[in-house]
Amino acid sequence: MNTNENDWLKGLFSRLPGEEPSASFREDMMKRIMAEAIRIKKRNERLGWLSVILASLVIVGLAIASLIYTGIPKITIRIPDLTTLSFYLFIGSLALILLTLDHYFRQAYKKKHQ
Amino acid sequence: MELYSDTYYIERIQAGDISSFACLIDKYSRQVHSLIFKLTRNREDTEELAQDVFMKVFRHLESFKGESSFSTWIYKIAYNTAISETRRRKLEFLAIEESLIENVSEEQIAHAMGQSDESEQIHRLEAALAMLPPDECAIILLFYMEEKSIDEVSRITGLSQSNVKTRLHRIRKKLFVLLNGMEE
Repeated sequence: MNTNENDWLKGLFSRLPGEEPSASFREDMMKRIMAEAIRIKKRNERLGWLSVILASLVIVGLAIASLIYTGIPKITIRIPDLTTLSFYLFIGSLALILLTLDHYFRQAYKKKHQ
Repeated sequence: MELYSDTYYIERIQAGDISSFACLIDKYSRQVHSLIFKLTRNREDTEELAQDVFMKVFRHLESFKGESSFSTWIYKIAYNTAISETRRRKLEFLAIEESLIENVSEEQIAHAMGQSDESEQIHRLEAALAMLPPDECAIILLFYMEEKSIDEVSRITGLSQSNVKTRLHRIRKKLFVLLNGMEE
C-alpha cells in the first residue's frame, strides 16, 4: 500500500480539481498575521516588565525580611572626636608644603645640571 | 522550482521577518483549502478554517521542532481543524453494510468507470467522497490526492501505520461500493 502506482484510483484522484483560495486570502491572512505579531510582541513586553517587577519585589522583600528576622547588625556611623582635627590639619598642611618645596627644589636642581 | 526550503522561511520568521510567512501561505494555501473543503463541504467555512489553520501555524511556529516535515505538520493542523469542525456540526453519513464492502469487485468497478467520460468519473468520485465520513475521506485524500506516504498519513491523522493501511483498504472498498451504486 506504500506505493500506489498502477492504481486506477490514483489516476482518478490526480484529476480531482483542487480548491482555490479567494483572491484576497493572502492579503487578509497577512493582515491578521501582522496584527497577531504585534499582539505577541506587546504581550511578551508586558510579560518581561512583569517578571522584572516581580523579581525586584522579591529581592526587596527578601532584603527587608533578612534585616528584620536574621539579626543583621544595625548600621551606625561613628563621628570622630573633633578636638584633634586642628592638629591633623596642621600636620597635613605641613606635609603638603614640604612636598611642594621638595618638588620645586628637585626641578631647580635638574635645570642647573642640564 | 522552489527557491528556498520551508526551513529557510521558518528561520526567517523566527528571526522576526514576519513577511516571509506570505511565502508559506503561497505554498500551502491551496492544499489546505482543498483538504478542508473536501471534509467540510462548505465554502464559507473553508475560508474561515483555512485562516484559523494559518493562525495556529503562526502562533505555534516556535514549537515546530522539525521532527516531521513542515508539510506534514501543517496538514496535521488542517486535518484536526477540519475534523473538529465536522464533529461540532454533527454531520450524518451513510452507513454501508459489511457484506457489500466484502463482496465488491475492484476490477468490475474499474472497468465500469472506464466506460464513462472523464468529467463524469470526477463527478462520481466527488459525490462518493462526500458520502464518506470526514476522517475516512481525509485518509484517502491524503494518500491519493496529496500523495502522502503511509508514514505521513499516520503522522497527520495520529493513527498507527497498520491502522492506516487497514482503514485505507476498507475505505477503498467502501468507495468502490459507492461508485458501483452510482453505476447502477
